[in-house]
Amino acid sequence: MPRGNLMKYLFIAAAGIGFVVLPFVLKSNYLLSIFIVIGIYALVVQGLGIIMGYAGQVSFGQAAFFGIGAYAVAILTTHYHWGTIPALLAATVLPSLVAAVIGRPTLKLKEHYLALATLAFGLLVHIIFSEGGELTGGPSGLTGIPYLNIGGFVFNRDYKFYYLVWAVVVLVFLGVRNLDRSRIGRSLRAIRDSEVAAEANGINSAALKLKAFVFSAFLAGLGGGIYAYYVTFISPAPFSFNISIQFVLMAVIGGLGTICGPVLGVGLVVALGEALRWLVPLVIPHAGGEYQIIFFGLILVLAMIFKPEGLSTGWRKITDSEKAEETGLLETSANT
Amino acid sequence: MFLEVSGLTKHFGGVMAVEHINFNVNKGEIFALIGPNGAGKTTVFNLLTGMIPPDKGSAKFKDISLNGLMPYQIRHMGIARTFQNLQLFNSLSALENVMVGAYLSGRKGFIQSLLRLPGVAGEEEQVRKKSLEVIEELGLEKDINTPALALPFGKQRLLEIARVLSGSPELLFLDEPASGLNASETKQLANFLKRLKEKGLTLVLVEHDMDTVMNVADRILVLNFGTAIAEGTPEEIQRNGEVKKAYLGEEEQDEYIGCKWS
Repeated sequence: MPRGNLMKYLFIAAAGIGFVVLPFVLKSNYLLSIFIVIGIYALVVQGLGIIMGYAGQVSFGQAAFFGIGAYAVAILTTHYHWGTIPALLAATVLPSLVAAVIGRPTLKLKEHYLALATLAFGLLVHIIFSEGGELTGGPSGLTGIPYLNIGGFVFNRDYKFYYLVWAVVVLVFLGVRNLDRSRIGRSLRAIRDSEVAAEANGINSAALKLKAFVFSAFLAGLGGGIYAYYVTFISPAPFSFNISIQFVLMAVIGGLGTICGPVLGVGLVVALGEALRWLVPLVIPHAGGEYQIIFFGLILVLAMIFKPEGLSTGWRKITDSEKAEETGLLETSANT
Repeated sequence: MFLEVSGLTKHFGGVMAVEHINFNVNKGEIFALIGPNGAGKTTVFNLLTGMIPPDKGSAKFKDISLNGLMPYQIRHMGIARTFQNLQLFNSLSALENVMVGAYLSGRKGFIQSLLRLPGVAGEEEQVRKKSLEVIEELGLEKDINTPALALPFGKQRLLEIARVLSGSPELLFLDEPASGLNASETKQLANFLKRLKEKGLTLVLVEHDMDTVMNVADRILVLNFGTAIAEGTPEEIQRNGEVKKAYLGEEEQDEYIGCKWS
């Protein structure tokens, strides 16, 4: 087996084992909860990566779709006592339908009308969450969301949730990988590069971008539904416009148009946020949260200056050179 | 009639880009549109491929009206085009570019691709095989993994032709396929166009290189300031006084064939 491939499989195996044993190694629930949040956000940002990295459209509404998924679960389980499967189904179908309604007129237009539409939509949805009266619980939100329960198996502990979330992340990752390597993924990238040429080659770009957008909302809703079950209490705050921007940052930092990018971007931004919460008070005593934001911004700016194409492209280059090495090996073995 | 264009008209503000143009293209022929810069040749292409709507006039392909169709719908009918200013998918590899060209030979949709349902892999393999064949025909097989942007200009032109051929069109509009090619590449291209014709493909060509046009075209339509001033075989066009006037401004000039107008 070529060395590059062997290294790759070893790395994947090591990462897999690492993820499986992580809950046993981590003594603190706090760290485990961070990994769960990273997993949930990874779903949301994976969705954003499809519409931004593949279809080339910016969406500022991802936190709103995330919120619709979360509120769907919260409302349906607390007010109407729905079970887990139908509630999660609603959490994914509802944002998908909303995305179809927003995307249909805006994605027919060239340029970035989707960004404007989703920006307004994100603000609107946040207001609805805050002012929704009894249905949404207003600014204080909804409490008492039951545990996630699949066929009698209750996800009442963090480590159970950890496995559930990351199993879903892996499945979604594999799905996006399939898409990336298919006729559809290729066509989406083609639209991103030249919409005129994509259309001239028979691609109905408006329809395909709409599908990508609906899928991105589907993933955001899935993440939102799981999030509601995990925290068991939700308020409008985690679904504000600022969070949408954070999702966009995660997608960009991870690397647009790559399948590993979203997970990397989320991991980095969340880890950075948590690390700064510890580090900043050590450097500047009595520093408030604003200082963290400053450091955070600084690091992001540096990242964009020195690695504008995102983190995962470094990874891509490694695998490409491995490929070159492999073919080189093949050629030499053929010659001898 | 294979392609029937009648009364095609397009004004941009006060400018008559295309004024009441009529022509027919027969199945299996190479039909060339020539004329000085700004004569409206590319506008005719854009009108016929749905990129811009005509003010007046109609176009019928195999007796089906093309009016009001979107570019992708026109492609679905078997009509494909290349672009004067290359429109490649720059970040995609050469092979991927050609595979996108075969988009219509695929049937698998978003969800099937996402879940990699049975049949997806087989279809992908077929498209890859077909694309590799086309790439080989154009001599690009060494560049299949190179991003389109990184290819030299001549190869980019060929890649655009490969991309459009992988979708097996019936009628192909080529907008200045020889521009930017050197003499030997141009000669190869002319031979290649003749081979395509032998295979039964119908070509409509906009080209400034008169050697190529006179060499490959069966019939020529000459445009000047948006109107058709002559139509005929290469021999007829070469003898036509109107055409000489349009190109050179003077009737006396005789020896113009073989020159290259840019």
